[in-house]
Amino acid sequence: MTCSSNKVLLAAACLLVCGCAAKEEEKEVEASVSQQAEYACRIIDSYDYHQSVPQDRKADSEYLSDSFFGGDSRMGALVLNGELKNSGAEIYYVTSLNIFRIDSMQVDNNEEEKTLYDLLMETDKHHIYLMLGINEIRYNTFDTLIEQYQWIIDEIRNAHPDVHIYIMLDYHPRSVSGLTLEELNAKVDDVNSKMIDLAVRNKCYFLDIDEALCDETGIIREDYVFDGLHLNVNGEAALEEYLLSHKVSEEDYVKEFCE
Amino acid sequence: MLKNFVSSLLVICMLAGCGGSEKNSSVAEKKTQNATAVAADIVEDLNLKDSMEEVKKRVVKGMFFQGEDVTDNACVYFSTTSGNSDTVGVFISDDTASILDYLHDYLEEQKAQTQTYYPEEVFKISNAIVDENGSMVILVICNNIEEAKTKVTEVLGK
Repeated sequence: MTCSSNKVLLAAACLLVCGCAAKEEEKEVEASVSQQAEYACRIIDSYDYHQSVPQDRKADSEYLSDSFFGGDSRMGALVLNGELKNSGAEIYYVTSLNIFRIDSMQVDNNEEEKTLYDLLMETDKHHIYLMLGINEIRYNTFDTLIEQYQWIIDEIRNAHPDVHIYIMLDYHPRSVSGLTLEELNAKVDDVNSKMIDLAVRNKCYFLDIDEALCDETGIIREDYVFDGLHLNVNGEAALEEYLLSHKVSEEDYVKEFCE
Repeated sequence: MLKNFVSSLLVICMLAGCGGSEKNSSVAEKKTQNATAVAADIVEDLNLKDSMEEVKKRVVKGMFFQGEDVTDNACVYFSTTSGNSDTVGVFISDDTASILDYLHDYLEEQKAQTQTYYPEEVFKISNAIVDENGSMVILVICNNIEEAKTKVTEVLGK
C-alpha cells in the first residue's frame, strides 16, 4: 500500500470516527434534552391549605351539578330552603347524626334507606362538602372524633382519588342543650382548630362559615336560627351565598411549570 | 360393712369433687364470657332482634369510651330505626367502676342530644337500666323497662 493510500485511508477512518462520535454526541445531547424535558416539568399547588377558602368567582351550574353536600341536621337547611337544591347538587342530611355512625344511620327522606357513607361512596361528584361535628360537641375531648373524620376522608379518597373535599367548620351556635354558652364556644373553638389541622394534613379545603353567619359577638345571628342552632330561611340564604362565592378554582392554584 | 364404708366414702369424695368443679367452671365461665354472646341473648329475649343491629368495635370505643381502651370485650346493639334510642350494651371488665362512669356520661350526653331532636325518647333514656356484678356491666334502653330489668338481673346472676 502506498503512503498516499494510507493517508487517504487514515483520513477516511478519522472521518468515520468523528462522524460516529458526532452521532453519539448528538444522541447524548438528544438524550440529555429528552431527560431534561422529562424532569423539568413539575406540578405546583400553590393553594394555602392553612387558610379558609377565599372568595372566588361565583359557582356556576356546572360546578354545582358536580357537587355533593352531606352532613348532620344543619345541612338540612340547604335541602329545605334556598336554590341550591335545584342546582343539580346532591344534598343529604341525617338528623342527630353521630359521626361514628355515619355508615349505619340512614339519611333523612331517602327512599332507599341509604346511609351518608353509602352515598359518599357512590357519588360521582367531584366537590364534596362535609358538615359534621356538632352532635358530638358535648364530648370531653375531640381526638376520637377527628380520628373518625380521618377515616371518613380516607374512605372517600380511596373511593374517589380525584375529589376535592371541603370541611365545613362548626359555626358558633347561640345555644345547645346541656352546655353553657361559654362551654359551647370553647368546645366549638377546640373542635374547629382540630378540623383545620385535619384539613391541612389531608390537603382538604376548609370553610370558616362563621364569616357568613355570626354577629359581632362571634355567635350566629339570632335572626339566622330558629332554635339557637338550626338555620332558618335567612340563615340558609346567608350560608348558600357564602358557599357559592367561596370555592377553590383549581386552575388558579395548580399549575404545571416546565423549565 | 367395710365395703359399704369405702363406697360411701368414694361417693362423698366424688360429690365434693363435683361441687368443686362446678364452682371452678362458674369462675371460668365468668372469665371467658363473651360480650357478643351475652348481648345477642339479651336482644333475643327482649324481642328486639328485628329492630336492632350490632355496631362495630370502633363505634363502641368512640361513642362510649372517648377512644380509650377500657375493654375489648364489649358489644353494643343500637336500634335501626331513625330516632329510636333503644340500646343494649354488654361490657366485660374487672374495672366496672370506670365503665359505669363512662356510661353515666354517655347517658347524660344522649339525653341532652335527644332533647333537641327526639324529645319523646328522653324518658326512655332517663330510665335506662345500668347494672353490674363486678365483672360485667349491662346497659339497656328500651320501652319495656320491667322486662329488661328482670332479664339484666338474671344475666348478672343476682
